[in-house]
Amino acid sequence: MNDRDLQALLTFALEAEAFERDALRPASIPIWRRPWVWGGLAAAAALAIAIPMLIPAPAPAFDPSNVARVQPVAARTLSDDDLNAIQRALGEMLSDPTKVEGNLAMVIAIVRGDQGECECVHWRRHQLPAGKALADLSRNELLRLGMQDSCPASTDRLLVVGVACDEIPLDGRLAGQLAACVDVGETCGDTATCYASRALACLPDDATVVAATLAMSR
Amino acid sequence: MPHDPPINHPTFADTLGELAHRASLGDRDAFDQIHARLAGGVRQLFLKRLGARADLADDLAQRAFLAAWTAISSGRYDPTRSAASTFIYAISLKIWLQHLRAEGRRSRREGPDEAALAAAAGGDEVDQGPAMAELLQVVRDSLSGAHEDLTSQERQILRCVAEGDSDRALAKRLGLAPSTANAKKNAAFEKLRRILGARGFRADSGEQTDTDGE
Repeated sequence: MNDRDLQALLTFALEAEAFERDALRPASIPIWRRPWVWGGLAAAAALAIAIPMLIPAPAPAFDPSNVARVQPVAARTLSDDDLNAIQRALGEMLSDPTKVEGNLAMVIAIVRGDQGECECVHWRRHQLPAGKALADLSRNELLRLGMQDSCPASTDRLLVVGVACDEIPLDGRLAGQLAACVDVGETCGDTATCYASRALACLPDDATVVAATLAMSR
Repeated sequence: MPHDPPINHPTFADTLGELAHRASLGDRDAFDQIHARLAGGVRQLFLKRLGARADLADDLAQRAFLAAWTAISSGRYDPTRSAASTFIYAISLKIWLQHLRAEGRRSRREGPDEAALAAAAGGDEVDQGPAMAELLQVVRDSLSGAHEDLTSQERQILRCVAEGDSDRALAKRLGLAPSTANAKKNAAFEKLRRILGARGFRADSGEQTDTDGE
């Protein structure tokens, strides 16, 4: 091992130190997505290419405060080119098992510190098993899903909200909006149904919401 | 919604060392917790090297954790010989070196000297990740003074070298003549080589020898 190799080794040892230090430091970014979901996002990107071909104007962005005012966008008559584009996009999705299929839910984990402050919000898409609905998830299963992303900051209470809804995209924007809807201080305490009803108030009528809370302090 | 009794699930309070030990015994939940804590850092490692190619960073991070789990589940990771963070870092570097080879860009130097590390670590084979983690752990322990093999000045010199200090910069930082600083650096290098050799790594290649130095 010559001096250059040794210097490289030292450089990487220092980088490994910094990597460990960063991993143990409280997160400064409130929302981030897990690597697993990139395939889903790639599928969404594929759809994003196909959808503008079908709809002349962009659909209104989802805003929980004015769900009732969102109007359906009229579809125009599809041409052969449009149909081919859809077929290609669907074919691509179906040929890749890592991409998104139906029966999808989103799980949002809201971690609070000992002063009740929101430390982190994580979200992930969760593919429900065939024949299983979101409401079939047990509290334990829901908490397990919420715990898969950790918040290294001071952790006192974990709130996990599961959402299934066909009308809106289950994405980070929705996660942030729902976190704001349910995370309004301590008034709900540990009552999961209170959080669930707050989340439902921010969602379209067909949405399903489940929630679970867990005290993390020991 | 059904309400089940409270669960006994690994929580944020578990240390990485505890989780690594449990993961090495096949505890998938413990590995998931390690993933949850380190995934962001691994992604940042790749992003730092890739620029804004977030999708590729995600892909490489996913491959790194898959490789890490493969190594753990096949019993090739020993948590007593390298920390979980060092292990995941080492695997990530192997994945990165593999990616560079696939891209045919190894000769391009971006950031730290990847090619030199590839040589030092015995190539980019991911299944050598645990051995590389042990190699890096020995260096980390030496730099932190855990083994008390190096003097504090030698550790400082090696850290300066790791940060890319030239002999002149090193001399300035230490308040020594450049020739003296160079001599001290060479002595520290020799000592580090001996430390690596004593722990079972060949100083000429970085690969672990058959005899266990521990």
